[in-house]
Amino acid sequence: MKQISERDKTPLQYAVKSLCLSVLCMLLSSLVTVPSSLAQTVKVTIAQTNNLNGRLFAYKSSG
Amino acid sequence: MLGGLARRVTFIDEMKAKDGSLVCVDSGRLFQDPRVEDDAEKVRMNARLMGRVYRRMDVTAVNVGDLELLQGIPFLRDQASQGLNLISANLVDPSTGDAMFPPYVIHTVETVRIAFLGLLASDVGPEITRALGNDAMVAEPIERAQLIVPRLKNKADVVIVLSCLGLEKERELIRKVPGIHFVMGGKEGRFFSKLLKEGDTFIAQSYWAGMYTGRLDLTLRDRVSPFRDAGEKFRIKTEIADLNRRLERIKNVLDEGKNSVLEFTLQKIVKKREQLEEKLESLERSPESGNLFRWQVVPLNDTYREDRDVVDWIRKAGFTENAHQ
Repeated sequence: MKQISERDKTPLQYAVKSLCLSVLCMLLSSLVTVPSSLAQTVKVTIAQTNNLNGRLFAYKSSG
Repeated sequence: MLGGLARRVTFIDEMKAKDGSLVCVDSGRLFQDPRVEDDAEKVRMNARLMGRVYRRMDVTAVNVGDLELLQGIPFLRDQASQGLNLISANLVDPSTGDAMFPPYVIHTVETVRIAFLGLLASDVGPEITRALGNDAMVAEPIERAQLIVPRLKNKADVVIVLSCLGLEKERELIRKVPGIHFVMGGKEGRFFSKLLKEGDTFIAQSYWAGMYTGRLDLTLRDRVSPFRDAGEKFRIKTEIADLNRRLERIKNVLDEGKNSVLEFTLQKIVKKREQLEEKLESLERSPESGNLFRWQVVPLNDTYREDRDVVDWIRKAGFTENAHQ
C-alpha cells in the first residue's frame, strides 16, 4: 500500500474539503430553491368582484 | 333578481364549503361614489357596511380604487386596522414614497404561491386630490409595477394584478412589465364571457354593481409554463355549431331565390368557420400539458338565499330597498 507523504497530504486535504463544501452547497441550495415542477397538480379557484359601487341590494331585472 | 350583498355572502360561503382553496379578491371601486350621492354620511355608512361584509367574507385582498380614496386616508386606515385587507402598490406617502398599504399579498395554496398586487390610475381628479390632502399621493402605476413585479419573481409562482387602471392602461402595463399572469380589472365594469389576451397575459372583468362574480379556476402542473384557456376548445365548437345553424338557414332562403346580400353573408360565414376549424385542429394537435385556466362570470341569482346576518346589518344601518340603494 502506498504511503501518503506529509507533502501530499495538503492537496489531498484540500480536495476532500472542496468536495465536502460543494456537497454542502448543493444540499443547502436544494433546500432553498423551489423546484419548477409540482409534485402534484394544484387547483385554485379565485372569486373576483369589481366596481360594486356600494350596491347593497339585488337588481329586479338583469339591467 | 341579480346581485345583492347578502346573496354574495351566501355564494362565497357555498363556494368555500365546496372548495377549501377558494380565494376572494376585489379589484376596487367597492364603495359608493359620494360625488353622485346627496348624503355624505350615508355614503360613509355604506362604506363601513361594505368593509364589514368583505371582512365577513374573509376577502384576501381589496385593491384601493378611486372611489375608496374619496373616503380619505384616515377612514381607509381605520378599515385596514379592523381587518379589511386593503392593498395598493402605488398609493404612497408623499414625503417618503413608501406604500400606504401593503403593495401586494401572497396567498399560498398547497405549494403554489399566488401574489395579488394592487394598482390604481394616477390621473385622479380634484376631488380625490382634495380628499387625500397631504396624507397620500397616487404614484405612476406602471413605474411602481416595474419596481415591484421583478421582486415577486422569487416570491410567487403566479402574479395577479388587481387593477383599477382601465383597459387601455392595463394593456400598456402588460406590455411594459413582464411577469404578470392575469390582470383582474373592472374599472369600466364590462362583462367578459372570455378573457382578453395581451401577449401571454389575460385580462378579466366581471361586470358591475355586484350582479355577477368572476370565477377563475386555475390548474397548475408546474411553476413555469404560461396559462392556456381550458374552455377554448369548447367555445370554438359551440361557435362552429352556431355558424352551421346560420348557414343552414341562409341556404334555405337562397334555395327559394337569388339574394346577393345573403350570398355575401354566406361566404363570410364559411370563411369564419374555416378559420375556427383550423384553430380547433391546431388545439386538438397540441398536447394537454402546462397550466390551465377556466373563466366564468357567475350570475348571483335567486338560487342563492340571502345571508340573514347581512340582511340584518343592512337593515340596522338604515338602508331600505326602496331607497336609491
